[in-house]
Amino acid sequence: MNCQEVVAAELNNTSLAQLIPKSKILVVGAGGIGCEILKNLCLSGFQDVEIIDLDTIDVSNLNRQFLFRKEHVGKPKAVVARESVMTFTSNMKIKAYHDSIFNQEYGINFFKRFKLVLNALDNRSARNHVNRMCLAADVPLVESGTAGYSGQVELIKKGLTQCYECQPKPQQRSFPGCTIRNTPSEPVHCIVWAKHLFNQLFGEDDPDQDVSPDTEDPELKKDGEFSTTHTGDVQRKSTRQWAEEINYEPEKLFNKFFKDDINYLLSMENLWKTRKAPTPLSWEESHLCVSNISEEDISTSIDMRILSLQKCAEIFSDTVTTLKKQLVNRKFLVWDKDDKPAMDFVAACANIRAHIFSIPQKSRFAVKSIAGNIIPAIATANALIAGLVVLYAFRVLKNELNKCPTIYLRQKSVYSKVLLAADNSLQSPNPNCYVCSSKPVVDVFVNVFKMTLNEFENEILKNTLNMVAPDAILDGKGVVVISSEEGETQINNNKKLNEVGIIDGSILKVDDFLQNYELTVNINHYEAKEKDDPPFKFVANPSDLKTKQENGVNNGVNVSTDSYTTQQSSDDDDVVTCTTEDYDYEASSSKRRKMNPPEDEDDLIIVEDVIN
Amino acid sequence: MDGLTEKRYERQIQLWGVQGQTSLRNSKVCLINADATGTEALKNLILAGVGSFTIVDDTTVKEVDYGNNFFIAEGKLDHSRAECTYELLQELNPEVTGNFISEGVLTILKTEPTFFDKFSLVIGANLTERILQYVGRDLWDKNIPLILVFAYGMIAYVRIVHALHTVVQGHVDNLPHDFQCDAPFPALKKLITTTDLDSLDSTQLRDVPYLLIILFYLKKWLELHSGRPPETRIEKDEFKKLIQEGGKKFSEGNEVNFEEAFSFAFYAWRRSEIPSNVLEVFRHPCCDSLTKKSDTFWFLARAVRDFTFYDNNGRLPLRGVLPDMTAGTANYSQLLLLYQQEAVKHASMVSARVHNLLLRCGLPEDYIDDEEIKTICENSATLKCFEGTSLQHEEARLDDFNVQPAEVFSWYFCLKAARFFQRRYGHSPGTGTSNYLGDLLTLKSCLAEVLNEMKSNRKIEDEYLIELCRFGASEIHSVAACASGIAAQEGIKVLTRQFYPLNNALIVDTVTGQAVSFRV
Repeated sequence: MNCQEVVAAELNNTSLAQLIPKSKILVVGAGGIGCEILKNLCLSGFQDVEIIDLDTIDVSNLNRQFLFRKEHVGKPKAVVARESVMTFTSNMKIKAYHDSIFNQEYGINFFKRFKLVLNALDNRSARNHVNRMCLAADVPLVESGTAGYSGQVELIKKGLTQCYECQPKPQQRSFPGCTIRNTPSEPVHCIVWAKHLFNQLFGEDDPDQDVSPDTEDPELKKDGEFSTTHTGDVQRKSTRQWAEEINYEPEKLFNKFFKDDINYLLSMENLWKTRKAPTPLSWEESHLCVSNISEEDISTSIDMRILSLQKCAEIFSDTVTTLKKQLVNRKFLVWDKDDKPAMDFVAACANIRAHIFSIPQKSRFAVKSIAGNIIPAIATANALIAGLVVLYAFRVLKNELNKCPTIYLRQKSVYSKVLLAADNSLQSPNPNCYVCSSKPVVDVFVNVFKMTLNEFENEILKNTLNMVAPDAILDGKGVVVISSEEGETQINNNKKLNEVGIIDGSILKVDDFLQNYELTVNINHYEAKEKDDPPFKFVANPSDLKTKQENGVNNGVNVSTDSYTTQQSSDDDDVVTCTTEDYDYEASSSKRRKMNPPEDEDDLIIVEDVIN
Repeated sequence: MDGLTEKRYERQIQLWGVQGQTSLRNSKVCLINADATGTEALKNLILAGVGSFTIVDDTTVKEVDYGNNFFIAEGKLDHSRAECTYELLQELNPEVTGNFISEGVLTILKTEPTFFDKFSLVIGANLTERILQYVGRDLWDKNIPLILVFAYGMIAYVRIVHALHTVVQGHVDNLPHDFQCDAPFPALKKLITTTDLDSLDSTQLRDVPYLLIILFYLKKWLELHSGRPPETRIEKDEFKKLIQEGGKKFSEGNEVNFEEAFSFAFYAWRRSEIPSNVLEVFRHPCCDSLTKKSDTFWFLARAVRDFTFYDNNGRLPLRGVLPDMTAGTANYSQLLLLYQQEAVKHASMVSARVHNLLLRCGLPEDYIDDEEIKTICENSATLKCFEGTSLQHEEARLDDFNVQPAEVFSWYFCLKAARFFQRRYGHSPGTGTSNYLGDLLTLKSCLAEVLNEMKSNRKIEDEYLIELCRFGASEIHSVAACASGIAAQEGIKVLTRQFYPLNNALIVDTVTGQAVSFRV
């Protein structure tokens, strides 16, 4: 008996038995959920599957991604997943792509080839992109994700259900540079700073990772202008250059980062009017800080202990020496949480800085969890969610779309008795969605005198609105201001928005050919005033905008202090972002559950459990 | 644990810690029935890093196995299913050892009644009524946990059968902080007496952790109210006002630490009581009747109990951890140090009691290591024991059944009826004749018998039974995968003794996407 007969015939559903083998399925992602889905498809009789993943296999995948073994570490996930499944079955055709789904090759026509797309992704921007591709190609999409013990499965079908972007997701926020460089207030700020310090000293040059005092902190403005004493950054040469000149002498490095720079910060008096000022720490002083809270407590493993400053300084000195040696004959080092000296360096520096700013110190274990973006991920939740994904696939094939309401796997079943809860019906599309509505509109708030067109394209259209290759036309004037054709609008790149005629009230018609996505962007002039104001904002739904402005709420940029999400993207796994978590799954009623769709393993971190 | 091992498991150590991982590594798991449900559950446990596994299965590979079992290689028709699945499962994790026995479990038990003694967990996948009753009784008597898992058509059922399960680390969310404001220990009392926030300037005040602010104003309050903490709503508001006034020293509104003190002011009148789950543990007969054979948990629980009532005025050992507070490092460290030192003191007193108890039972002092003692002291508020229900006594608690949604729960009776049917007629309902509805009437009478036996007057509509016949006991891989995910998760909780496990049954209806747990 064939698999599809087992599944379908025993359920007396012959139509399904005929549909399964001839349906072409795309699985996006070959990680925790992807491996499970691929196996479930294989054992359900699917015979024509394609799988795409950009990643290669890491040791830390092996506790759940069961298609991979130790000897596969470093190899492409999609390819190995295919090979592993093929050893079990010969009557299934699997095509593997070791590639990014953002690649232009995977356009609308690629997606149209499939009967159904199953997402098994680990980050929001790829989810947004596949969402748009499926909407454009009008192919049903089953979206899923897990985070630790919780998870979710939902069907997305154009015009019938909400799309992935219909409900605003909790805003992710990277910390403003000045918080990291000038006024840290949480352990995570110090950890991000310490990683930047590592890169400044040993890593690849990245001007966005400056660690020295930031003199352009908006708080330093007096009457809207920077006072004349602060011009330019403190350093005139690069940190790296300077470190090489002093031959990475630990004492000098220490005094610069933890004494001189702090003294410089203290001279920016405006910063300390309403907050506690930092206390500079010299190399000599650090050696006097012997007394410690838990160092004597040897029953705790060293990774769990909070080390004394003296110990931290010692580690700083040792690791700088080791890392300097590693740097010989190499252009730069790449920070890796599993590289002991690199990790020790970051833990020590983060804790010294935390001390200086009266921020609670953290054990090496806790620092590693945060710095290395280690998010809990387990086989069991993935197995459950992937099982449901494939059961939904059956229903989609049978065209029983109305039988696919969103299912939530709840984190704590013990208290409520409900482990899985489903919506009572499909959620209809948001008529004002800035992605799937018929005339999508978004309001963008930017400083039109400061932001360049290049920044607008990258920061807003690509990073925030998730477009891949946008073209933008200034409405009314018909001027192409941004073009996806190489070089066509390059001349505009460094111009400020107002210089090309984009001002408050302007309307841009933006078109992404790949995503087959047209968006009207209303431009609003906006200036960041408060310290933690984002440099720009956007509001997806103009009617939301109204109510929000009335309430004086800032575009939902609510930043909670006790939970973070970290977004891992290939170019910068460093951007630690915050979000408010709302795991309110009370009752399995038809009421809309206001929950944050759990992202897959690599997207969501609830640091609370880790730090405290 | 070496670096590679640690890295392999880092994403789960986040959840259950190195101790949990060590418990898993020391565990031995037995799987009865290597069908799709069974192998998927075992797969999840092997990936998680259990110590070893044993597969018990006397069947041979059939065509149907190829249809739903991932762990059977091609060309193995008619081979031992135990052996085939063992071969592929043992490749999953080089750190896990495994073996298999191609015999029926009843045969094994007949020749070797102590067969199960060596296992820390037994998983039974889609067992027939006859086998599960027999195995269930054997394991119940030995207090070895049994997890039954079924994938039946579109329905999954998971049931934990374990006479007595104990948990140390409950990982309870939102556990109140252990500040002991209502009865500060001597060192803390001394700190409170010597603290005078009124004499500090605003820079110094900014450095004071909120806990000390609360304690300081509580001291003032108690002096004014003849030692009585704030009790009424009005008094509580007054107390909070004191804190607010104290923070007004700052020119520009309250400082963060005073804001924190204000919002955590309730700790001033919060009584440190022993939670009911801990009292249940303390009152358990096992706590009183320690013998050489007692589980280490009971030595620890007894020592904690004796410490609590004889040494510590009815208070549990101090946890010795403080949450983050906005404060100067020195002040915070000093406060934390006091709590830590006191906690170390408590742990060493508990430790002395543990050693004493062990000696009295003729066991060596190092029978329980210090790490375990420390863990139980830190987690004494989440101790919990679960008294299970044996398979024979499922009917006894019928009155408790109040499961919502009720439809999901009907499946519990239906599955029971299906097993009853299979035991009596030798085949599963829906598979007897070419028309699956041929068994419907017989099944209906089986259900009536089951309900009668369980003294239930529950009405179950025919559509459930029709569905059941339609399922024909088919094991759909994706349903099996869901069921096994849950079963393995519960297995990990049981093995690590962390997190409170399912208590004690759960139905998953994959048609409606609902899963509800209940206690039978």
